[in-house]
Amino acid sequence: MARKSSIPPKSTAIIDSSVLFAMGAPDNEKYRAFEEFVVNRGLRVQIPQQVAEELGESPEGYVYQRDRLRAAQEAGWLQSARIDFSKPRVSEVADKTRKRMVALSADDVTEDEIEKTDTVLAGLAYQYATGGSSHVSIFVSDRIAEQAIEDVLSAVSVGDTTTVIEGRSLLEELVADRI
Amino acid sequence: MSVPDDQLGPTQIDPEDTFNDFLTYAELLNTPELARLYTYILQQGPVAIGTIKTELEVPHSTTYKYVGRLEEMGVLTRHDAETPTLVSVEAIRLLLDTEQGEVAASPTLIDAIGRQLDTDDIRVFAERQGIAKLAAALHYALRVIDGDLTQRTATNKLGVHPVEGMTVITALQDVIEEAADYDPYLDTPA
Repeated sequence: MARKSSIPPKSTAIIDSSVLFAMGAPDNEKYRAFEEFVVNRGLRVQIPQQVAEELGESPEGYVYQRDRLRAAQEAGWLQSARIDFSKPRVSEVADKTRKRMVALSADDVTEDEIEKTDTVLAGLAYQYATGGSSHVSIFVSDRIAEQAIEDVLSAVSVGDTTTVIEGRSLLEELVADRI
Repeated sequence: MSVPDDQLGPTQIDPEDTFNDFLTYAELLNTPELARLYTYILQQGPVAIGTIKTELEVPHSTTYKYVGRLEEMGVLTRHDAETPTLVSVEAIRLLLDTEQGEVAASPTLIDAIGRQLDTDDIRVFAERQGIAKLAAALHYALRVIDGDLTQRTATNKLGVHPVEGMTVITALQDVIEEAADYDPYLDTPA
């Protein structure tokens, strides 16, 4: 499956930290393949501020994960993005995403157990899709996030200009293409 | 060697075999080098001892010591008819009946234990949280793959910081995907 072909040049990509973790350190082939791909395609890669803050507050043992974030920011291909809940429907999209995630999750998951950070990815995608970006891709690492975000963005009529992509599979595809 | 499936009644379970499995498991879980060697043989076996040594870059004496240990545990078979001698191991599973329900320990968990040696994302977690929590993380990673939970919900249930939980679950997702090739018990609900 050619996931990368669904990501138009010079479009916006929003990534979750799990995708950053799956890339490994800057000397890892997945990291290098991803960096090469986003730079060559001229993508504007964003990480929600909440995700960046989560990384900043991580236990000391995970300093190396913060370093990965910083390396990408310093290389210039990753920026942190602020969700603006005052924009029309942004909070509604985040709220719908929470509900959709609960509905898709197993019976032992309550609404309280859906983290706001997960819903911010959808809200931010909506904000960009309706704020001038030609296309927005969202990279996540689990089936529920993938399905819930896709369903909600379609329901609020931005399904045609947004694509949700399983980030770990994309990384594998990019590495395979490089070889 | 493996614990009989639940179609067998409790009276048919050999208590000695069950305890032997339990002790074998405990040793594998507490010895990452042994766990790595076991996993390699499970994936590649039957395989020559010399190949194990070269591929895992383990000293000659250590390789023979661990091969001998697995043989003593009763999980390793030598194929002496071949030259050089080849070895293979059996996939072992331990089912634990706990107050929270049945918990399964499978070859995938042993693989995760062995990966501490070359994957920081698993090593840091195991050092900070211990092996029991790593086993719990594997349980939740399977549920993430099954589409039961998001990674962050799984992290919540695991009771660790999101970065810590998502780091280990992401790494374990890779372990689980590769395990499909060698772990016959992977589909068993854990």
